[in-house]
Amino acid sequence: MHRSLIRSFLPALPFALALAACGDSTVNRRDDGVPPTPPSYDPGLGGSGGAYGSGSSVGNPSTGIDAGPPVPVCPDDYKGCTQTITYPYGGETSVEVRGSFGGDSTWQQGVAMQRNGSQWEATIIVPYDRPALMKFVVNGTEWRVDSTKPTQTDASGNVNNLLAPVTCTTFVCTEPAPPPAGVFDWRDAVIYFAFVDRFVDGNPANNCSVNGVSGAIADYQGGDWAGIAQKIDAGYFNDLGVNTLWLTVPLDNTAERGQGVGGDTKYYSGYHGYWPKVDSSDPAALQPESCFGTLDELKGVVTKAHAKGLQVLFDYAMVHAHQSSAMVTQHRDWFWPNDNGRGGNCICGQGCSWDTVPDRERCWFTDYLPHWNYTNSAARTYGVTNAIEWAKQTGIDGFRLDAIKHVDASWLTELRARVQAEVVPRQSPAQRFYMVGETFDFGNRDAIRAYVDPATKLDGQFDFPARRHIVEGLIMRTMRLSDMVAFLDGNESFYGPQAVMSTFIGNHDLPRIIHLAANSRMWGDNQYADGKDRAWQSPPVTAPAEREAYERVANGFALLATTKGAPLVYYGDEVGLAGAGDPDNRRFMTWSGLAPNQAWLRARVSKLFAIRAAHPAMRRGTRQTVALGNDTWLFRVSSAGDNVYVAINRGDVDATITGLPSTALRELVEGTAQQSTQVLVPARQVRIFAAP
Amino acid sequence: MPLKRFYAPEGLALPALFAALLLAGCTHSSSSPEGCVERFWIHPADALSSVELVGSWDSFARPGIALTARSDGWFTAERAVSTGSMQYAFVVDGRWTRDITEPLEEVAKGQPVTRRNVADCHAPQLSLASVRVDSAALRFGVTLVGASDGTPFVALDVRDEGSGKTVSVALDATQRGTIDVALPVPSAPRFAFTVTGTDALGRRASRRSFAWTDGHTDADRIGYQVLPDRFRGPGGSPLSNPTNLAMRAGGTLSGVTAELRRGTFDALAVDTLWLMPLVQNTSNSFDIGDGALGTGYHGYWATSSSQVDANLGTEADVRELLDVAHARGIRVVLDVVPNHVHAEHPYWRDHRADGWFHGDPGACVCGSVACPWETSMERCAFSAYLPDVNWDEPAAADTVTADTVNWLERFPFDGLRIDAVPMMPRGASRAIVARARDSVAQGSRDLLLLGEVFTGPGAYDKLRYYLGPFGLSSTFHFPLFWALRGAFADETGPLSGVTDAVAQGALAWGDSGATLATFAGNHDVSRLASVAERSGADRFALPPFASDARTWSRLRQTFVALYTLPGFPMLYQGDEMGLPGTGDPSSRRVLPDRADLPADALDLERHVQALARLRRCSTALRRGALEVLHASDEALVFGRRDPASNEAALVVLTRMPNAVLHVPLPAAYGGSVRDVLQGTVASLRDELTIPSDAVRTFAIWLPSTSPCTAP
Repeated sequence: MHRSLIRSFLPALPFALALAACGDSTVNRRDDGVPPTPPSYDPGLGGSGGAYGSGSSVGNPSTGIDAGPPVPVCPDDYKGCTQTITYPYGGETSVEVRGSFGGDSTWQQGVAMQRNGSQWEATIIVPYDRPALMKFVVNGTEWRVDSTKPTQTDASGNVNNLLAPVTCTTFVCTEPAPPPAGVFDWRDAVIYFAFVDRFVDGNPANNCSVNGVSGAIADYQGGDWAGIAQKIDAGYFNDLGVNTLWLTVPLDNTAERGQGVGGDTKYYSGYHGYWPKVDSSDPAALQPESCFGTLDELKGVVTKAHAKGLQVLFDYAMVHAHQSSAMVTQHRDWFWPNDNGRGGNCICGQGCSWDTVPDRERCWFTDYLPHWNYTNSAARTYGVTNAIEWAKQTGIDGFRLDAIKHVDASWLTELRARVQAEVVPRQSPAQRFYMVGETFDFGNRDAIRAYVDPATKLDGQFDFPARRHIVEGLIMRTMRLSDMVAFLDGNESFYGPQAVMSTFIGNHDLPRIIHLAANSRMWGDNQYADGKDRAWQSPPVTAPAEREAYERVANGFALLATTKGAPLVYYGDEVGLAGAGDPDNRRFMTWSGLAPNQAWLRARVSKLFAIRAAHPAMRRGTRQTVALGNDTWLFRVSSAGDNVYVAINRGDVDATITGLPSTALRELVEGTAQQSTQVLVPARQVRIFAAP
Repeated sequence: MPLKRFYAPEGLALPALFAALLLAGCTHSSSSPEGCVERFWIHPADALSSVELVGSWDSFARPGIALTARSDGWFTAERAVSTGSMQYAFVVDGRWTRDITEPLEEVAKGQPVTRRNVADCHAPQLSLASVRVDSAALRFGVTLVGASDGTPFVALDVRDEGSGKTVSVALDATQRGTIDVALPVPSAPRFAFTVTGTDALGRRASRRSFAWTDGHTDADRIGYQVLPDRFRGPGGSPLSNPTNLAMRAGGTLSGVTAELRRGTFDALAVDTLWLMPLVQNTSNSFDIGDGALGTGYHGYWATSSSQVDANLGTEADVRELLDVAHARGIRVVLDVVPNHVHAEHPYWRDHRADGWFHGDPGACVCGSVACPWETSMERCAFSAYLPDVNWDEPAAADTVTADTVNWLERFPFDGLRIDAVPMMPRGASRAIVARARDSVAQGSRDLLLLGEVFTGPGAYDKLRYYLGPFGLSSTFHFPLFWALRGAFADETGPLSGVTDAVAQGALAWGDSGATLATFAGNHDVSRLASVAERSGADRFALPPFASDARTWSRLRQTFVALYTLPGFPMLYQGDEMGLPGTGDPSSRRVLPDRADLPADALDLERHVQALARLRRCSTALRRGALEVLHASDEALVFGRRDPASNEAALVVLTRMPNAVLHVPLPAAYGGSVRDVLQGTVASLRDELTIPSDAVRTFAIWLPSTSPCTAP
């Protein structure tokens, strides 16, 4: 072979020349603007290989043979390590160690130390891998620190001993204790969003209509508090297995029409409750929505609900007031100007950003909704007082707080402080006042978590990222099941041990879930945008006809019912109500003439929540995957004394799922005995097993 | 997609217009005055995710670089980086995520990150792909990418590392993409070569690779495991067992070379020899449990990272062994131990306190109360004198990777057997694999990277985890190993477990393309013969050869299965003779003098040799698809069919059927056939009948016309 270099190269195409010359610098990473081909091989997570055996000498495997049921995993937040605490003896008659190691209660009552020679000793449980504070109560009265140990001085100048974080291989696993008997445990909550205007028209006399709206779906439709009361009395909620009502914002809304948000040119009324008209200079003078009834009727709803064992949450809108509000006119400084200070307006998504701080806490959703300025203390006091007064005067059990990321954090922390000081003491018995927020974000969990802190902020938020995974993994099945499971596993303790997040598959801002479950979906995977496009243009006439869609929705509810969090049922989803995006997803509730599929779904939802009510493991247990296939998932949830196995088949063919314990079990959905470690789960079904 | 390449002719003056175009076209591209621009890509599961890029360039400061979302779901960003190496991660919805399009996995700031090596864009680069040999030529692809200053390549040379001769390849400046090079088939069985490209400024880019000219794929391999200290002495002389079985027995590299010359491995149709570690080990004695002492005769207690153990021989002995093996068509795979060193290793002395190791090994011995296997596998130490390398420490990881690959750079080994893979993060084996391929075998499919992932039965997902395009090229099929022993040696498991293990394995990792190493014994477990004989478990005993005739039948059956199933068989030295052994160190007793073997042992050796020759002859048995025709507790009937050659083989194994079995046969296995092992002929129709008294029988039926019927 000889060398034959061509020296007379003439570029015929300058374009090709430029292209070829660009990015010639590396072999492997030449930047031609084309994404890499992801490896088609997914090596997985490895599973268990048992003990590694290079050191072992015997010809038998050391693991891999039936090792009995797996040990439940304990979230780090629930783990505690035993630690021996000492205090030098100096003639004391008694020493007690107190501190934050066991939560607030161990500041009140600690552990008595025993004298052992020259020192006092006690064994306490300290949090796993988290610091704690302690102090010693000497002779029953005198608080002292042990100067030989590390100390920390808090903001008020109190000095405590500091326990450095420790980890341990043998730990105690302590779930948060249930509240005393008779006090509602919010981990047991199942929430139902009764969208007042669209639920039941109990009193035609209070019906409203707004001129010039773009259609009946955008106007008031007559639902009211009297209608809610009817359904409470009729036991509808109890029969369905929900125990908490979320009711539309009770504040009086404007009677003016308004265009939608974000370029929506249709005209709407304030039927939804999110356009409050704030006129009274006295925040304690409540102004209820006249189209829904009177304040007395609303108080009656709360009383009736409590009589039926139902908790009540009010939706509360504190981001903005309608421009026609007297408070807007009288207190310009209580509201942010519609001016971004950079030469433009401060409409969200126009001159100001929806997402970044400070814009998102100032921007107007649209040009007739001035944004409250809670950095103004008078405005904040007014707003917080109004929320507190709604709670005190009606006796509700919590709030659903709309669009919380658009509110200055001071409003929320002040509300929490005043709830603890003014609302909780009025309750009988006292219980946790549950505040659940809405941060409409399917991806950024850090942003959602920033508002969750039961002591100072929210008890929980609606879990939009989980919704995305559950809907894509279980209902649309566009996500690999293993990806969904991996997400959910990591999600369980993400918001902290005290948080009670609300899990859901549908709400009033998303297209109706039944359409996402259809054999042929009308919308793709984008959970922010899709559905709106057909809210006005050729919306779906009816829900899908096929049974499969209802079964998939039931599987979604089954997952909510069998795992932690407070499941939310958006009114109508229990019967597969049809509808595209807002406002078509807010059609009037169907009460009669249910198709067989709709009746089946409602009965199944009711059954699932009844099973949940009977099993604490499903409400607060730790979940562990037993077997995971492409379309099947067997998991176990465990809490003290309760083990429940859940076998879900998301696929469209029947599947045999293996991995149940060999002990006798009862299957709770169909009510049959289960003896085998295998179960045939029909397509799109769930089976739930517990000890008989 | 193929990489585009461009080289402009020497001295070509570009018209100003073209120069302007060049500049304009390059604004998004990969050269900058300070460094080279790297582009990053991620396709998150959900296009709505929030994604940022963080990296070692600014200590992973957050928030990182925002990525641009594209309509196709990809997010991308670019950044100027300095040449060398960097770590980075994508933060997706707050969770750190590695780049799945890249092989190198590391940990930084306690988070998963990717390492990327950045080529110098100011220098020319060259890469090789698809090295292969067919009947007409040795072929490979070369991709040339010029330096960022646009200097063209002017020469491309291929140097034969065996003869030192160089040939030049013509460069055609109009060519784009990968250059396909074809050279005459070399005469040597193993052809190692270096390809060098030179640009007009005289700057060079080089790559090494090698190819075997016999065309064997991994499925064609037949392997043999040698423990050099226990194999043969100088000149091939037989060894005797030391009084203390865990001390040195005196085996040497020259002993292995002598057996190579004697044709011992050829008689077993071996083309792949696994040499247990040759690196310098301690000569001192350490506690090996049960009150016994042992030394580093096995090679796993390294006191150096580069020296050949003087007890085994010299570097020249290594080269001679390799030359003799290569001349006989035998590849040699070196055992390497990147997981740990011995406490006498200078690395432990110099780096015990700077993060290279997982602390004092005595404080965290694997399986102790402090460090249970389940939770401590990657950081625990095998024993108190074996410090465990901390692969999350970049300096340690880089040094051990370089040390390991250096053995391939210094000696023409044909691959690595990597010890204790799951005792390290996966990034460890991936780093070794990537560097080994890059350094000595780019584009070659002949470099075996065989990992020891020791598992119990059924751990298919565990093996899958280490395979794939960025992973090991093969692992040992431990689930099949346990199934084989259960079916044929201790007879506690169903025969169907054997084909189940093959099928489950194929299901778990089939798409990796890997062919796994199948085996019935190794140095870490009781010898096959002692399991079949139901010998005791005294690991220091030297049990005699089996006296029970059933034991010899069990061994014959095991080997029939091993040499007829998919995968490539790896025979542990002495198992072909039915050598007994009851654990470590008993299972590592010396290879006996052939003159001392009982008749049963010689019979078994002939049986294994016949099976090996049959497998070497029959494409169906090496490459054919497995077709299970009957699998039950007591009987197994399977076929192997190779669609390419239309060859078929039918394998029948029984234990104690207790009932007549009728097995329907596909037509491919019918007709006039010959039982290769027993020499009987038969005419099979559409059904095979197995009598109820067929106790521990085996048969391999080939068409009478097959050239492999008389192995």
